Amino acid sequence: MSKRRIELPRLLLAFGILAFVLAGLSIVDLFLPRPYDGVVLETDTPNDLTVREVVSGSGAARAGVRPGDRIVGIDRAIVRSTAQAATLLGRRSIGDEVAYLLDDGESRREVSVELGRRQLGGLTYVFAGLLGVSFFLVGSFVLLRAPGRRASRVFFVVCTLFMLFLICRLRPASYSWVDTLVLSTGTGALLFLPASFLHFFLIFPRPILPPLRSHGSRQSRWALLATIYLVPPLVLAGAIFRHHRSGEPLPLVSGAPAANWWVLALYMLLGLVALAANSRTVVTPRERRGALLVFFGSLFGLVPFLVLAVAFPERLHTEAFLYFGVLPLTLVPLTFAYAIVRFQLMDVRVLLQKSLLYTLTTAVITAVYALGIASFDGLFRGTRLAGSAYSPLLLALAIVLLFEPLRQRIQGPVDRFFHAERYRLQQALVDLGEAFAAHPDLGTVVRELVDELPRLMGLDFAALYLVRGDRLERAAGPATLPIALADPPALGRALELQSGIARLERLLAPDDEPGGLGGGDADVRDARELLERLAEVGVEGIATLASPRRRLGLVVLSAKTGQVSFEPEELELLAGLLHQVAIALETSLLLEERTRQAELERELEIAASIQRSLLPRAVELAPGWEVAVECRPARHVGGDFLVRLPGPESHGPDGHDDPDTGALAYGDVSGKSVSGALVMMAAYEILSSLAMTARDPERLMTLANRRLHRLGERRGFVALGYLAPLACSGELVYLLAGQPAPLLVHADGSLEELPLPDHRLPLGAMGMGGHRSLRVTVEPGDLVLGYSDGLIEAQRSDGEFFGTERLMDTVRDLPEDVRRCPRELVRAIRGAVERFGAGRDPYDDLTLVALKKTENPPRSGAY
Amino acid sequence: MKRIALALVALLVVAAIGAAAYILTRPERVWTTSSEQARVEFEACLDNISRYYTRDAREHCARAVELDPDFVAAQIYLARYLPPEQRKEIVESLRRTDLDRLSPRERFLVRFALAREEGRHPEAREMLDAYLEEHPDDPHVLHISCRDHWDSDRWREAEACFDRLIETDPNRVEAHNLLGYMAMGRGWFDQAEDLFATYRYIAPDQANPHDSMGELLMLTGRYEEAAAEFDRALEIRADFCPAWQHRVETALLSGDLPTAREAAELTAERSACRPAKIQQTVCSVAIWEQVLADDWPGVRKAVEESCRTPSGDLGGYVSGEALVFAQRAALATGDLTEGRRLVEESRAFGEELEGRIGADHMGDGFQGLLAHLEGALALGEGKPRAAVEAFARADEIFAYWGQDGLGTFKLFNLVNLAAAQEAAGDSAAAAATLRTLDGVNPRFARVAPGTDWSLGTLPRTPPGTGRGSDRAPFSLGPAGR
Repeated sequence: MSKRRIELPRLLLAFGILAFVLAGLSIVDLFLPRPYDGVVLETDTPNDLTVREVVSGSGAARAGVRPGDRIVGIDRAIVRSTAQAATLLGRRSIGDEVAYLLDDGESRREVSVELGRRQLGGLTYVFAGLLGVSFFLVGSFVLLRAPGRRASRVFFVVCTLFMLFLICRLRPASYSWVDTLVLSTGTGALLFLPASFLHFFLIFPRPILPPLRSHGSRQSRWALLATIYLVPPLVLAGAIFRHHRSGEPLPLVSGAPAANWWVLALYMLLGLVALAANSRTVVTPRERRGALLVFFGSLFGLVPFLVLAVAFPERLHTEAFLYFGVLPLTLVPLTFAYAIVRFQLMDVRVLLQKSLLYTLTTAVITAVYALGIASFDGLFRGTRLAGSAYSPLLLALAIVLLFEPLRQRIQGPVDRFFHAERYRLQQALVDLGEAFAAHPDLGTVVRELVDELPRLMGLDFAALYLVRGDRLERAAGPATLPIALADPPALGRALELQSGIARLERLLAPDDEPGGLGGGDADVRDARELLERLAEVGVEGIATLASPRRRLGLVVLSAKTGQVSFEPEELELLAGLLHQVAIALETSLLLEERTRQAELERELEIAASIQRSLLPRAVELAPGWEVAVECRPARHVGGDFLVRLPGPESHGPDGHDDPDTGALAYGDVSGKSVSGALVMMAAYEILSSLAMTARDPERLMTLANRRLHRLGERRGFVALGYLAPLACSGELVYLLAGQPAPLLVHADGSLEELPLPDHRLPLGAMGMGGHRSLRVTVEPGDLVLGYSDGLIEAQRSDGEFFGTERLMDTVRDLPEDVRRCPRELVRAIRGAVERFGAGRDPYDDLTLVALKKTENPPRSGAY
Repeated sequence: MKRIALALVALLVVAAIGAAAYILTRPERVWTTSSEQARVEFEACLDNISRYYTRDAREHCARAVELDPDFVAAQIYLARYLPPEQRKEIVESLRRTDLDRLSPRERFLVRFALAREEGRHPEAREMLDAYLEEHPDDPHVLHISCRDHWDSDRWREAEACFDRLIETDPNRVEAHNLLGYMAMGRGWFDQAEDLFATYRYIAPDQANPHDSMGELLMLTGRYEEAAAEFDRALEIRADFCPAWQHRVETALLSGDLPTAREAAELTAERSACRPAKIQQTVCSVAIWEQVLADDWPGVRKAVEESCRTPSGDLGGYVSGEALVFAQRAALATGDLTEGRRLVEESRAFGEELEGRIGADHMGDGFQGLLAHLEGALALGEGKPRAAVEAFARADEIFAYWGQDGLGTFKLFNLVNLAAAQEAAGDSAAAAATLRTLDGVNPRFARVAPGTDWSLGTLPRTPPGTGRGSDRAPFSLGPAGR
């Protein structure tokens, strides 16, 4: 697609250059010296050959031609028009004697006039030529600024054809060989000018045809345009063929068959209807004013042309009114130009601004100079000063000095004329930027950007994509745009090179052009694909949104509604605005993140409080057992938990049932913080609910393992320790599933690790159960210390773990009273771990359980 | 695919423009011939027709037909100069012509020529009008139409037609020439001079424009300028008959007998005039030598010796001028019987002529001449009032130029009218008549004696005749030639 966009403008430019060369040839030919008789004709009436004055010393003066004479014949032929006279003179050479037949009102006389030198091109033709060239330059400027835009391409064709019509068709006939070529070209231009007009009106200021969505609609559009352009030549060919067959001469009106003029009239009518319909679709009053101006310019330019220059010659067999028909035709380009300049329908203001500035300056300077000369002559008339050659020179020097200050003085009004809209835009963008800064709310920023920017800049739409991971997701914008886009780094790099904002056309330029996405690697290809995809849905410009910290997203902009391109100044203003948007967006995102974090923290606090509420404050498991527990999460909420469960059913030696004893399960779930807490809550709930019916630790573990396993591998698993003192037997039943072996602290201070079961995988780690409980006899005064791995895995700043050995040493080194008191023991161990970590935030949750057997089990019925 | 379509469209457009340019710029095919040389010869034939060079025109047309025997247009124009039996062959050839191969103009010419040849004149006129309705700007056929009006004495139609022809083709010389003669005939001498000046300007290399201008100058008394124009015409075309005749007339009007004699000799020697025309010139000079010598018996003798013709028309004289002076000489010498006889004979001839060619084709010229003869007879018989009436009737009939009368003869008639009015005692009317004459040609009146109105002292009258008529001696016929 991009390839086609580049090639067609080049083709058009080649056509334009060829047309320009032909126009240049026409102009050069007209200004070459050619035979002249020295007669100045009356100009009030077209084709009046009455002599107004005779150039002194000319051939006519020598021959006795007098003012008031009417030229009846030149070179032995009767003349009826100035064009005919020019034709006849053009056939002769400078220095030839040519016979004139003059009528002085009383009689006719013949004189012989020697032809001198003169250029045929006059002021009128200079005007037509300048107008034509100006339009070609304007058309070229528009095409070069926006070669990919259809309207600019058609506008270029209109301008080029207009140039050919003005320069080649309206030229005074010199009847050299150039005439045939140039006049034929002018006629050809006249043939296609209406078609290009109609084409332009079909797409300007907005395309009147539905957008190209399918291959079929493209074909239909091509067929329609081909028909529009082919009808005039086919009508011409038909007229020629018909007259050729009948052997009759083809009657021409102003160089073209009458049928073609009627086609032209029809096209113009259709074009005006299209423009009228089109102007109703534009949104802004500015565009509407521009479109209406073009409409009325076309109407008042074309109607007199068609009536006086086409209908009259055909119906009344006179071309006397041709001149008055062609003259209003200049209204068409003039109104186009005014609409373009004043209402910014096309991007040509820079060129015209400079031209106008220097033209005005030169005009003022010339006027001042003329006034100066006249005043000087008036003041010093009769003195030597008046005749001095130095006076005009000095005045000219003064005028030269005046030029620059005057230019600066005129610059202001010219700028105000040309840049009124831009000043308004600049102010509006500043206001918008201030609004962003004042209300850095994400919703406001997004809404203002997407809603206000199109209105201010005259866009069809704008959209915002925000960076989400490695993708760009549409945060706001029309639904026709993709929901998500890839975010190729090459695009970011290319945008950075262009101050963060660029037109797609420039980015898609070939490798050898500056500003394009150069290189052929996959990243660049991805970027090009992305841009082409955006171009297909009407995106014309993109801009990156980046704060000093990071890249935030991408703003995509449609084409401007007036078929104009973004001016560099507009892009600069937009870049400034987007910088403010980025800062506002970053602030907004940070605020949002902070708010979310605060909310999370509050929720964590609640969760921690819930967790804390779940911890047993004072645990009693069985008579004769003293219990102390400590559970400290590493974060607000932890993965460790502690739950009192109904203990296993047991019987004393006398066969009596144990009184209602309890068990203590301490767990550590995989994962920390909220996720760990959630698993912990699940495990807590599972164990609590299952223990109501399954008091046997092995069965309990089997069921709990199955339930936790069902939560799924990703939800984590639970390392669990289970301690249940048996009041009757004085034994301790314990079961380990992933927790380290508890320590048995004897009353004499010796320590031993309780034996580990064969199968001790954490609960939920595997589907199979099979955890076995063990029993150990605890003597009075002995103490069992259970703990989670957070204890021995506590780390120092140098990376060293607290470890089992250090734990055992710590316990051994404790004073006896401390060591023998479960509560003191727990506190002391916790203090030791905290000191070991030297104030460093603990990595893992910490759970400690100390069970001390205070006495032998009571006899049956003691409770 | 799209690129190919674009290229094809561009190619088609270029081809259409090329074809249009070719067809628009190529010359229109109007003459159908297989020979380019034949076409050139035919164009030369037409050019010579426009210059009134009849002999050359015929030769060129004949060569064109030789080069291409199927060249229809050349055949049609050649037929104008051929005797009836040869013309028949061409007519037969035209009847066999396949009209489809011809241009619309040629198709018309064939049908028109056949209609004229077969005497279907009204139908031919309708054909002309129908063709011009469809092709109003075809100057060739428009010219034929104008000449048709002219030849049929439809003066108003002819004038409008020539005006239209000038509008269509301002350089069509015959339009200027014939419009000039019409203006001259009405006494609009300034306008006639403009038209002849234009004619002369367009075709300075032709003899006829100078001759036409010379005629006007001669009529209006600018004899020296007229002589210069005739000399210029003869420089261009040494055998141009009208210019020789007019050169003799100018010399006679200005009283330059030696020049007149010399010119008359050269006319006989160099001009392409037919013998009758040469005799008219010789007759004029012979009469005027005696008139200027005031020798009326000599005039009678000169008329009898130099102006007789075996045809029997106009009393057996070679021209109206001879008839007038034969009668005038008879009356001046007291031979009233001869004067009456000539009037009676002329009247009988007029009736016979009317019966022969029809009143419509006869024109008023002869009636004017007869009225003048009657006036002269009445004056000779001493009946001035009857003379005034007859001369006035003749004056009404005569124009300053035209088939109805000769410009100088109208002036001569005015002098006679003034004489009759004076003789009738109406001096005021005579003075008014002379003022009218003065307004046209002040020199003509000055040579007329103001007091003696006897026939012997009549003003030196112009020879009058010889205005290039191919039809009858008293008729001017086609203008100039």
